[in-house]
Amino acid sequence: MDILNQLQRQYTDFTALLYREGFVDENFTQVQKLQDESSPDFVVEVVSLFFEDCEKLVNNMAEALEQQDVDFKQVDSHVHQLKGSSSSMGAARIKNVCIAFKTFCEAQNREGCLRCLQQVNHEHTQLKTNLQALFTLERQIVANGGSIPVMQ
Amino acid sequence: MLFSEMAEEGRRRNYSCSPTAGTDTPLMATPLRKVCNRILRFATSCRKNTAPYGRRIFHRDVEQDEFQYGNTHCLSSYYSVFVVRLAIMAMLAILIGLLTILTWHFTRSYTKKSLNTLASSLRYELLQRPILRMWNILNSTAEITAAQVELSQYVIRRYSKTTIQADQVELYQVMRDVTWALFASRKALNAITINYRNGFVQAFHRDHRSNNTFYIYSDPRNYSINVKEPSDTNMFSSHQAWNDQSIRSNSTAIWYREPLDPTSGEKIGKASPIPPDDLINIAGLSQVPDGVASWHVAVSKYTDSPLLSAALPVWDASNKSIVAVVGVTTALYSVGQLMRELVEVHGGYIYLTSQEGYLLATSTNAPLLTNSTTRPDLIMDVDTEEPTIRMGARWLERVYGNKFPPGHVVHVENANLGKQQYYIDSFFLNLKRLPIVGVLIIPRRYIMGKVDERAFKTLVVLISASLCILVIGCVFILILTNGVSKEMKLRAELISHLDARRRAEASNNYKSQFLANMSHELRTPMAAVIGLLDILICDDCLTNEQYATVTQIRKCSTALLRLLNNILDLSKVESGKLVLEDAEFDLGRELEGLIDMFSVQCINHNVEAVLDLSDDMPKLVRGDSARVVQIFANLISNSIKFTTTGHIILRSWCENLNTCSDTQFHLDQKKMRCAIKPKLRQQGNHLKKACKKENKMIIWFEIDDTGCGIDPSKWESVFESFEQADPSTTRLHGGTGLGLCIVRTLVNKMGGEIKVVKKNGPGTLMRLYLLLKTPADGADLHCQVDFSGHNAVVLLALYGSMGRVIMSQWLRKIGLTTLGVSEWNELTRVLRKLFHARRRENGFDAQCSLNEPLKSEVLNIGDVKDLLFIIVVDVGLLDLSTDIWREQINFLDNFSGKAKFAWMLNHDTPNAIKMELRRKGHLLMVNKPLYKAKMIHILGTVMKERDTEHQKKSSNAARAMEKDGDMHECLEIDSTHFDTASSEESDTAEMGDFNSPSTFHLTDLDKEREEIACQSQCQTLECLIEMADFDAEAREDPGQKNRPNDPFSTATQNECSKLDDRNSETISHKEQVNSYSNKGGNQQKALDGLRILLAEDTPVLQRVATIMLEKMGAKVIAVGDGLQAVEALNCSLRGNVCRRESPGNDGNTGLQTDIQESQSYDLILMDCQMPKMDGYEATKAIRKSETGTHLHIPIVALTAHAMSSDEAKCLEVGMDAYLTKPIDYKLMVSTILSLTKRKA
Repeated sequence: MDILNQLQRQYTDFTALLYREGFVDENFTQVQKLQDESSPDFVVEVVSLFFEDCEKLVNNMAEALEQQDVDFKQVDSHVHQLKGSSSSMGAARIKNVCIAFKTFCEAQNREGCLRCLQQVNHEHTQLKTNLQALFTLERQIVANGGSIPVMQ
Repeated sequence: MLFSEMAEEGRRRNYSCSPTAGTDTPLMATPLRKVCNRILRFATSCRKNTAPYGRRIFHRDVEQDEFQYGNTHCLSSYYSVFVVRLAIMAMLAILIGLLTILTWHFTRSYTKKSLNTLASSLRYELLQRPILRMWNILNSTAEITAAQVELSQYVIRRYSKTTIQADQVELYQVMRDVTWALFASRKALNAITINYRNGFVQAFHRDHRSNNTFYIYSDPRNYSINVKEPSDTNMFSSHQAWNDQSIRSNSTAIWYREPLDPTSGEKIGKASPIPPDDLINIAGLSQVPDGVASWHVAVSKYTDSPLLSAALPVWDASNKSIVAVVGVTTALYSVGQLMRELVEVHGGYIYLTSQEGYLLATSTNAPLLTNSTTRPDLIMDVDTEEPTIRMGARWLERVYGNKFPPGHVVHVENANLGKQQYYIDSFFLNLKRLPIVGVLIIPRRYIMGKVDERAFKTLVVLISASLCILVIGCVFILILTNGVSKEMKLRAELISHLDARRRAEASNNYKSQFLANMSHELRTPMAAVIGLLDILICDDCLTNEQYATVTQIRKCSTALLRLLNNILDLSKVESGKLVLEDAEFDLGRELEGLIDMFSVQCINHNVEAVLDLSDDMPKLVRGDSARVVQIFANLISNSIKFTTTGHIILRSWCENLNTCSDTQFHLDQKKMRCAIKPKLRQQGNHLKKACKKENKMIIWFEIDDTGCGIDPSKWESVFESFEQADPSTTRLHGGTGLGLCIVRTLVNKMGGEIKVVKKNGPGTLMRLYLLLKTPADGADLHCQVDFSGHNAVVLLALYGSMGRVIMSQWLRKIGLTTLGVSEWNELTRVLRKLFHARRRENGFDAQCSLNEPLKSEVLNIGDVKDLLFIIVVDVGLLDLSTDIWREQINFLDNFSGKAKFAWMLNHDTPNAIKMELRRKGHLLMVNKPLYKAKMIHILGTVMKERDTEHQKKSSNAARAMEKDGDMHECLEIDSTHFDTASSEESDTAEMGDFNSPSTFHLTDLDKEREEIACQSQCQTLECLIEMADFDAEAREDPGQKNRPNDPFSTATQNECSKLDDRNSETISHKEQVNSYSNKGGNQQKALDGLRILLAEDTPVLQRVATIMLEKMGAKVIAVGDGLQAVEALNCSLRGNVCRRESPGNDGNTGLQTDIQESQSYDLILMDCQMPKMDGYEATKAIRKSETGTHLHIPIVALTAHAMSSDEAKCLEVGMDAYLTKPIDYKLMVSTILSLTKRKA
């Protein structure tokens, strides 16, 4: 029971931290809300989809940016996609970076794009780590027979 | 971020400007500072000139550089202007100087030349005259001398033979007479002397000073005849001896002098002895040694002027020996006199000198002789006492010395003597033995003085004139260049202003664009917040407080979203991205809905909301209904905000020539309008012509309120953004000041115009017209109704006077008799009068204290038989504070047999009253406000009812009720329809806020009516039995659910519980609940049974959307791109045939199975940006494949762009609706429902 409480508190704190630090936003909550008995692993599923997608896009963009003549249009569409998925997922930081990224793309600023790409990568890794930790906690809570606390 | 950047930019600009101000230190001396200031001012103005180059470049560092560059550039340009000015001035100065000098030089030189010529001739003349005089004197002297000699020779030859003393005496006597004759004839002569060989001397002397004449002779006794025998041979040798002897004898001889009468020559005095040679020079033999005439200048004791003496020898008969010497002496005094006279006239000095330099005559009074101790002597010209002559002589000596030029002629013009300049001219008169030099000294100023003076004056005048011209010229140049530079400055300023304006516009545009682009970013979180709040509100496990808080948050969020939407709308319009819809809509119904909506608020404010539509309004128009509604919603809410008492009237009429001959009321109004705004109207007329062709219509609107009004000076500015008529109202009323701005931009966008118009009485009158298309079929369905045949009387017992007046006017127009009362007592009196008077034939005149017109009307009505009375009663007339209203209703109930009652309810009318009314059989109830459509319905209902009564005498109330219900169903549908139609974005929430209560109240009133309404209203939704548990819950705890501030669920749940209580038909009521719950945000399983194809490439979104839709009961088939979507659809179209061949190559088995199972899709959700084939292409392809079939699958676009241009693009390619990402739960459901419903 104590362990469960502890875990639950830990989970709550951690989630609060994630929100406070801006890793995720309300949209993430919405995604979490969508998870119910009919789709128990919905969040994890979405998040992993997101990360896959994200990695793919980042690779694509990195590739595109390495070219001699950067096809900014393509990069832009990638960024747009990434922005869409990150905002749907609630990955606020990535979304913010994407917004900046998009402006650089429109300005055809390669340096800025590269910098943003790095940031995206960085944010992505961080978010991944954080969410993995979160999911681990969740799993532990579930394993201990508790319910996952709902963020207010 | 952009704002802060801009601010920073502004600050930097300030900094870049501040150094110029900083140099203005108080340490600087004032004039210097002034100059600096001027320069700086100039520099800044210059910089303004050049700055635009810099500002155009948006990079700020570059801009700063440009500024500095501009600064230096301007300084240099300032200097260049300065230099140019200087150069022009210098050129002017040189020109004028040259002119001056040339003028001066020419005039002076010509004058000088002519004067010089004149002067030299004058000088020559001047000098010539004394010399001529001199010459005359010499000549005359010579003549006299010659005459004397001739006479003497003659006389002496006659007496030469005489040897006796007597003869000798006689000779002397004759000589004396002869000489006297000569002497007397020449007054100028000084003396004539005859010196005989024997030493005898005879002389006449004239003393000019004393004017005495003397005869001088030597004693004749001393001279013997013998002595007179000269040896001829020894003539020359003895000559010396004679001479010596004579001198000796002279010296020893005694001479006598006797004064003579100057005219007659008579002796007048006694002869007195005088020493020889004392008085005069006696020319001796020595003076004529060679026997020719000799000249010399002599001096005498008694004259102060030199004397010119000539001597000639008298030869004897044989002409071999000299017998006597004749000397003639002439004073040169007269020459001096002449000179003096000349000088007196002409000025200057003249003197004559001998060749040796002895002065002979001068024009001055200076003595010519020196009174030395021995005897007077001539003085040299260089030693004379007269300084000018002395200096002149010295100058001549110094310059020429002894080497005079040939002829001794000298003309010197600028001899500087002393301190003055003189002309010196000399002439040489070469007389034999007496060469004379004449010198003329004239001060230069006598001749050239005037000229020089004039020249000097001229020069001074010229110089001063030229200086003046120069100064004036410089001033003119300054003025001219100043004017030019000022003009340039102004021009530069103008250019910079233009540039600034352009920049401001650009930045404004940037702002708008920025905002428009941000709309997605801004709306998304808000939508999320509101959506989440809705979810939260639906959550059952909230406490009351939490619920209240959440509801409050929901409201605030809605308000915030509304503000956001306002701003975004504005920016959308400003950035030109607003695209107006073009759809058919019922304008009247929209306006009625609006008034319904706002009347709630109005009643709360104790303000009457009146809708006054003219009858000629077209029923259907084409346009953007949502925007039209937005215009009026903004205007009305604005009016409500500022109106505390009175009314708000929304008038509308159609621009039509016929309208003028409408009702009296309208005519009056027209007149007034025409008078007030001919211009606007004229414009309207002008527009009208153009509109006729395009099948457009000008519809005029007026919002008339009795609020605080707007100051006329603000009539224009209230339409600016963030502008409020009175800043203080912001505190009082709140608001952003965006509403009217949006209104104006929208009105303008619709080809209309809005203005504040002068109004009689307090308040504001806003007038606008809109250009709306009428449907192409042109069937103007004017809802002209005519009840005139029905013989009905309408008694309007309404609280608000304005609405009543307008309504009664309209009723009269359509042929009904009306009566209007505004309070309960009046109503009772009128009723009594109407009915009791009839019954008893004798009136209650005493009781009836009605005012006269009403009374007469009542009496008129009373005369007519078989009338249908319709009494419209405002619930507000009842006394609701106590229980009196029950009695009032009972009282009215007395008349229910004779009249039909229609009740006007407020939104907050207590249920008890409604129940009571219903119990009493008053089934005709409508919500305030009363407008035409409602009135027509009331009338229609009543008429129908009467008809049925007439047909079936045994009609029951229930039947009537149903009829009523039918009518009200219509009413109700009207409002609900409005509700959905105007559900644009999140405005819906607030509109619904106002609107839904009225709807609910309506439904609340009449259960049966409502049920019928629900049945017809709720269409597609197969209602869920699951909802029953919701209902059950509601039944269990109605108190908890009945929360304030929750218009949706509360009302709905209330509804449910009530319906349940009444045990109505379950199905219908559940449908009802469901239909409301859709609005309320509880979309659980709303989409059950729908098959939705989701085309979305982003896996995350795909997943989220799928879950969302599945949660609502829909079946979702997700595909990854447009191509798959098209294929999937094609498959489903082909049905079973192509099941096996469905695209399985991408390995999406789920998709395959889905497709295999599928029959067809109800809807497609299509992402716009997808790989392989994007949403637009896919839609096009789908639409293309649909051509020829009757199928039309609804396609909803999903896009991250929230611009209406994107929306337009989506709709253009054939999509039916448009959703923005992230997906708004509610909006998606309503969109999907509306589309699938239509299909159904």
